[in-house]
Amino acid sequence: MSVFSSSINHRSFYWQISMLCFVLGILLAAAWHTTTSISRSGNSNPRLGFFYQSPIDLTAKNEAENKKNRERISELENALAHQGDAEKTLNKSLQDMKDLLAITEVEGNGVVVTLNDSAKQPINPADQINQNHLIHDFDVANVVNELKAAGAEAISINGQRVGFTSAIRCVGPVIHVNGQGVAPPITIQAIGNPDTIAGGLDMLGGILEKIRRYDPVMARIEKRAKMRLPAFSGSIQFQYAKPIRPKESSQKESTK
Amino acid sequence: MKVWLLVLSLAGGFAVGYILFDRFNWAISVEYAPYLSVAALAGLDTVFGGIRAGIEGRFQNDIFASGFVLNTLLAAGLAWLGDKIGVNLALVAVIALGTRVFLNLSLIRRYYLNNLAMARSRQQSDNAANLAAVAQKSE
Repeated sequence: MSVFSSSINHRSFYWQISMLCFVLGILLAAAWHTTTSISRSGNSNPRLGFFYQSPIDLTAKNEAENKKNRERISELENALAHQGDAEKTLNKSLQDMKDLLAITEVEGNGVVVTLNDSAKQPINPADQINQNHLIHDFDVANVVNELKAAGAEAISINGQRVGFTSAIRCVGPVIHVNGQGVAPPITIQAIGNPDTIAGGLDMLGGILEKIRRYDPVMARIEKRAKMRLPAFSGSIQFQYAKPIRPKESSQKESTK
Repeated sequence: MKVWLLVLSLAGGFAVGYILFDRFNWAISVEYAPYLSVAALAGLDTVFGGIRAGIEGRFQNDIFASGFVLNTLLAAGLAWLGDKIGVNLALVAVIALGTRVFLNLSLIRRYYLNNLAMARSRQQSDNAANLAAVAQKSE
């Protein structure tokens, strides 16, 4: 007699258990599928990667178009300014405003902050949970904040100029600035007073010390002369903000 | 052997699930991942519980089916509730179900090994009886 048979009638329950095993198989496949689609890098599904790429490409195309259009507009304005002194004055004021908006290229002396991931694997649980060996979006955002506080007049991150609508966001393994992905090593260039900015960022308890706490090579700062920063090419249209202009004096008064 | 039927249906279910979720891309939001894992563990516990009840001769269809549905719902519900109140109740479900899986598995193992031992001793006593009968005949 086989080991697996006995006087008790077994066969009556194997069918039910088989059906349940089938359902269990589907459940396991579902659990396995959802778990593998949450990988460490946040996105391992190649189809999702395709959906990421087309908005990134579109953003790059739009930025290039913006840059071209703005340069053309500046050219036309400058050509128009030749008509007279009043036009020249107004045009100079206009171009100066554009510089302050960060939509033109600028050059000057300043500092370069380099943020990099650490090669040392995190050992203790606190470091592992917070992934302290990686550079995060808030590290970049805090450094930019400190640069502004220290008096930086123009900032660019890996070739992306920081405009007032620029956001620094974490998207899986890369950080998005102006909709373009940047990955470590992240080079932040800032134009301003080199000594003031470098001193401000290097101070005790400052942001660079915080980043360097895990590994000193993660944050480096050096002064550099004659840097050239690109223009901010993102969208700067107002859809919700309505400008409030001072009331114009009536025409009759100006001609008196 | 009936065991192969179970393994086969498990593999078949997994294959069907794989095709449905990876090929046809039935979407399951990733926020449901922990609930699905605990539900799968509840299903595993019900399988082993069912096998154990069957070999003890106490298998009943309604208890089996209702047990599966209710255990799965309870496990996923505990995990969901734990998320809401900030206590990791999924751990409770995992420990409780895992304990039962090991318990049922050890009882099944005991039963089959006992059968094996009994069959062997039966075999030996049969051999001894045969030898005695042959010896008697030849006398």
